[in-house]
Amino acid sequence: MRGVGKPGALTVRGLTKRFAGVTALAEVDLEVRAGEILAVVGPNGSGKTTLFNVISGFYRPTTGTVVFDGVPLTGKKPDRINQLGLARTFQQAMAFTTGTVRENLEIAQLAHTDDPGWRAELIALCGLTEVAETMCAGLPYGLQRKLGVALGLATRPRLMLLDEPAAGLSDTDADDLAALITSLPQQGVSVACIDHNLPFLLPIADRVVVLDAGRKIFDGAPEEARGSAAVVEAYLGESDA
Amino acid sequence: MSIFLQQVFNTLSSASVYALLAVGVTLVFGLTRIVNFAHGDLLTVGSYVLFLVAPAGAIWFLAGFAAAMVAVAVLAVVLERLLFRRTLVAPIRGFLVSLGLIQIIESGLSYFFTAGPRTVHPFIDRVWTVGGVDMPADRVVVIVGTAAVFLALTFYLERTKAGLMIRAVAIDAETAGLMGGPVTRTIAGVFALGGMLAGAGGAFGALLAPVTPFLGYALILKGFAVALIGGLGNVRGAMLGAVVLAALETVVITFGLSTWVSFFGFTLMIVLLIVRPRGLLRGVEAEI
Amino acid sequence: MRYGKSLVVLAVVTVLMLLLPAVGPSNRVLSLATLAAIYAIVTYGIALLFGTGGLLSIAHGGLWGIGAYTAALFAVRAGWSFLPVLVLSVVITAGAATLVALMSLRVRGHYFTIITFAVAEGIRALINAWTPVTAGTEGIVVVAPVRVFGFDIRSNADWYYIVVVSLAVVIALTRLVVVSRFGRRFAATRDNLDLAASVGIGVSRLRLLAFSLSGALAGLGGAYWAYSQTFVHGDQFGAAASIVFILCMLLGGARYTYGPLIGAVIVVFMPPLLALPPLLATAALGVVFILVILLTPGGLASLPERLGQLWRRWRGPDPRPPGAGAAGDGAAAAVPTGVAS
Repeated sequence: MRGVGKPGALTVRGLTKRFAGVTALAEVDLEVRAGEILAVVGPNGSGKTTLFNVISGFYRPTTGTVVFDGVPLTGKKPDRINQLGLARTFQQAMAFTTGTVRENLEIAQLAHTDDPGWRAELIALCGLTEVAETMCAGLPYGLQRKLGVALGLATRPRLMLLDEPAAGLSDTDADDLAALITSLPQQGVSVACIDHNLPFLLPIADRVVVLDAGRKIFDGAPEEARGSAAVVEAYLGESDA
Repeated sequence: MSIFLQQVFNTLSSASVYALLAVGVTLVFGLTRIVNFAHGDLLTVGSYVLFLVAPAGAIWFLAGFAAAMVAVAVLAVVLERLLFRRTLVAPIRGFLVSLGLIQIIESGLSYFFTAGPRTVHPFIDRVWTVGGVDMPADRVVVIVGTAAVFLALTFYLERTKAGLMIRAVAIDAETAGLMGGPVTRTIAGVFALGGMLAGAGGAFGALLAPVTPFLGYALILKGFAVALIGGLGNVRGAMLGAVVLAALETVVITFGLSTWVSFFGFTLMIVLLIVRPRGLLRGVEAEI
Repeated sequence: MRYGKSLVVLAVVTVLMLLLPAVGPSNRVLSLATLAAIYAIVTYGIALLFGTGGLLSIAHGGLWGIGAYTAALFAVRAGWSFLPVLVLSVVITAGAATLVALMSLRVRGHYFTIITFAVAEGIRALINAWTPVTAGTEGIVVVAPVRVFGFDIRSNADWYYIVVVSLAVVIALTRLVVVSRFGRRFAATRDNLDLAASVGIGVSRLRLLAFSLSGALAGLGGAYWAYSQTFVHGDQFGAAASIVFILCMLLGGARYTYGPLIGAVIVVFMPPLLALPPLLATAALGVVFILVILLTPGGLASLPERLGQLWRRWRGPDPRPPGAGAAGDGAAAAVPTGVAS
């Protein structure tokens, strides 16, 4: 594995997003420190995906700022934000359906330096070797999710936002993915990861942020999150994790 | 004051036809996501059925009106079975099919009935004047008739099982299908319903202004503008949108800009499509 | 190199097309052939947007009217000579297309197409209403002496040569765009707009540029239309014209090098060959249009490929994993021109 550069750091301040009167995010402050793996958890509708959509430029925030390695991202378009070194995956498995897995990774590098070596490495890293020449349209769900992560990494980001990467994965696949995510900081990629599967997410996280109804209700170490009364009430209590 | 009221009266009569057209457009779109541009031509077909069945006379007009509604409803269902059903997986193909239908219906009508304008005036001899407002019987029939049609429609959609089914499918075809609702039959039904409304619109439209085979093409854009003002899929919105568009046209014509009416109409439509975000939100944006 | 190979094929096709006047066709056939080439030029623009980028534009039936009126006004009223008029028509139409793209690309899917429909009809309404400039529904007679590089352009054959050579350039150019890095990025936006943006592809600028380029082709076709038809009026333009271009595109196949050309030839030559009354010919085109959409979504140019697939399936199960060969040589070679997408 090659080192890629320094992992990026993200600072979110006072982020609010309202849709036609519905407040999806309220005054959220948040940091992803360079080289860490941040878990973002919370019940459905708590604003996690909205947070990622705002950070990655798909939504404009109502108020608040997002700064990545000293560069303000607020108001920038998604493609520009990716050029600055921030990649994301989507909750729905997404791929360029008209190409093979390898071609997909080529497409992901069309706006970046073409790097066949890194593509080959990614195919191995993400467990896609056997399907490298298969059309994406017919790919099993678990592999599509891994491809999503690979597409983001193909752009050589310094920060990766993962939106439920383990959803629908078998235990073995989830373990592989956990190993991959754990290895990212050494390769120069900081990580923020949303997932409902806490046994998957908490062991690999350095820190946990909990959202509830658009507000941040907890920010701290994974072990503390389990003990926090507010968190248990909002989320952990119901899933009993 | 009476001039103003006169304008209101005229606005209401043309709004009636727009509404009958737009509600059909909005219903079909709501259930199938198909932008059916041939819907305006269904209305024209309704007018020509009226000309065939009832060339003159008030009593015959009723027969012609009924015939137009039935004939266009049947035509709409046939088109759905033959063509649009095959495009449900890719609605953009349904839109393209409707473009082909425009060519077929319009050139077919002008081949059989000539391209010249036609008109009927079963109630021409009567004009009531109330408070300085001239109310030709033709137009009164259109306004009152449309109101009656929409009362019946509202009852159907809100009080009957079939109507509730239509609204359920409009919200979520997949879930409605899972719950055992007859989705394909409901879609055929909504084409029939849209066809009936278009038939009524065609019969009423023939009372207001001369009809040519190419009227549908000009009308459908207005129909869509109206459906968009109200929000695609929204029946009451479409009724309201019809009044807005008709009022705007009346204003533009009052200012002596009648040659610019269609240009302003299209401009309005473009602006609406861009600034009115409802239904226009990006796919991901709908979920929080 | 594949693009080099397809250039050779294109050269052969162009020479064959240029030989047409030599076999002594009637004036009618020659002017129909010119018309087909003009339709093809505009259709290549629409096909670039739809085939590569998945954008269905109906605006082009109006945009080519801007090209035609620019040519008519500057050739007749201002007395400009041919080549400057041609350049101006292309530039102005491309500019108008850019404005249209700025408005319409803010929304997606159906809404994009409806906006472009309104644009097409709005342009027609503008031409018909703006009487002081466009002479409204009366139209403009375009009679102007045309000289190109020292040659007087008078006969039908002269126009045919000019339009066919332009068409060849257009085909080469659009092909180059499709296989370029730009074209591949544009194709990625068709596949998945959000995903493309998330991997750094500048989707807005890309689609804007593609739309402007395809508008430029509409402007070129419009200018040729004005000169070769010698008469322009508002109702030649608008959504109805778009339907004809879209028919050419879908009939031939938007994603094939010679799809738009095949489509335009069929659309232009079919009605006279059927010898139907004009109204029934229009209706027949509508029928063909619907059949093509329902039966061969890939267009006629896709038939050899599809028949090849059926043949292979009939011979036995395909040993390769599904789709693995689709981008390889087998599928491409099945298309007669050998240069399918």
